[in-house]
Amino acid sequence: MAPEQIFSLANTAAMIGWAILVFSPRRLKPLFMIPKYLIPFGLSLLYAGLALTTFFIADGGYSSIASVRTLFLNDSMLLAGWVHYLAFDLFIGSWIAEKADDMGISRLIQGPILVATFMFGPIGLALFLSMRLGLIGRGGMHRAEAVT
Amino acid sequence: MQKQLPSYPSRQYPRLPFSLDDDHVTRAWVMTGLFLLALLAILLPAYCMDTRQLDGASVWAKPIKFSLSLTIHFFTLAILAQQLERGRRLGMAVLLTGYAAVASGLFEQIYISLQAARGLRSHFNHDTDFDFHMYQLMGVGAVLLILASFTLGVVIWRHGKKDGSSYRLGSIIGLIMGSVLTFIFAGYMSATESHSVGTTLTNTNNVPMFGWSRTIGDLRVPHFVATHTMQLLPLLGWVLDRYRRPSRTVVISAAVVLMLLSVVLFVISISGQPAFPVF
Repeated sequence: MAPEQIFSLANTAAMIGWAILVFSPRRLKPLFMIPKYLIPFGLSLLYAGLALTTFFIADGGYSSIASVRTLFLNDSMLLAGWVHYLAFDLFIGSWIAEKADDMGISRLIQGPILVATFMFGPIGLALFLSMRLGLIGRGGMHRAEAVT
Repeated sequence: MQKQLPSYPSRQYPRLPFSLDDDHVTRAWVMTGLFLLALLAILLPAYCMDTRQLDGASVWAKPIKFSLSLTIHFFTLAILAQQLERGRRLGMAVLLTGYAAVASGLFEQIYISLQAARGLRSHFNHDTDFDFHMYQLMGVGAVLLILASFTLGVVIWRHGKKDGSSYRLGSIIGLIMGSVLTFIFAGYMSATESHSVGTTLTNTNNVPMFGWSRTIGDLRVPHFVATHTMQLLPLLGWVLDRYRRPSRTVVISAAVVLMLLSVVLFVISISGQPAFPVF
């Protein structure tokens, strides 16, 4: 399959995951497993296929901006890098959604955080972690656990 | 709505020195406040690393000021609403205006931040149809933000526990007067299409942090005083009660002083004079 085709396939899979995460009711546990585990796992397998077949024979590496740029001149490696984003962002997004549900953060506020994670991964993570700072107890333990 | 909210073994917000009820209106306000505060964590690095300027200040100055101000607004709503019975807080008036304010606050803050990131104005922007329609939407959002505080003030007045405390009086006058004056001053500002009155060659030497002009009239000064009456008067009332000196006279006098102060600042500003001139 051409890199372009794999790219749009991976993007579609990630989009489905994000749509489920943002819009579907979380009480449907099996449905939540799709964005949390199934799609990130699938994308990770795809990454393994791309990276393991490319990284060790491609020019460049991780040691400087110049070598990273050289590495990503290779389309398969560029695609692998993109799939890496998709997989990790979705997994982090699911983790945020799960924790946010536990803390009773309404969907109205989860929305912007999840969209930020989708578009600019670390920004969403930083937002959520900062919010969480205000909700954990002095002992550092996460006291706001659901007991029902 | 959210029927199956998780219940909590201890206080819900362990970092707070006082307890807040666990109903979903209070929760929505607190969470919105926390979200807006959390935004600072990502706005500050951008502020430090970005050299782009807009009207003599960093493009990020405005979203930072708005997130602080809106955080205070939502925490104020959450705290003052505790004077109501839970049923009243979840009643139609507070619930509807409360959630409308949450939606508006999120919309305003996110749009202001995105425009800042693009190096563009959010308010008073007529450059494209999109910018202009969004500016108009922000007007609606701003009205909804103060409609919530106004409504809360009225509901506390009508249905709050009539304990004769200065805190109660300060909350009622603060919320109602703060909302009405904000509506007038901010409304005037949007009608004149600018927060400045007069033209200036220099945007430097503004009031630190606030960015108010020290050479021409700046309508943001009376807006600031009027809006933060919502915090000042309840706080004053609370302090009076706390030190066992509850006094209607003190609260009402303070309200009159704040009203006069904001009106005087408004008159100074519309006459094109700075409230904090350079000597």
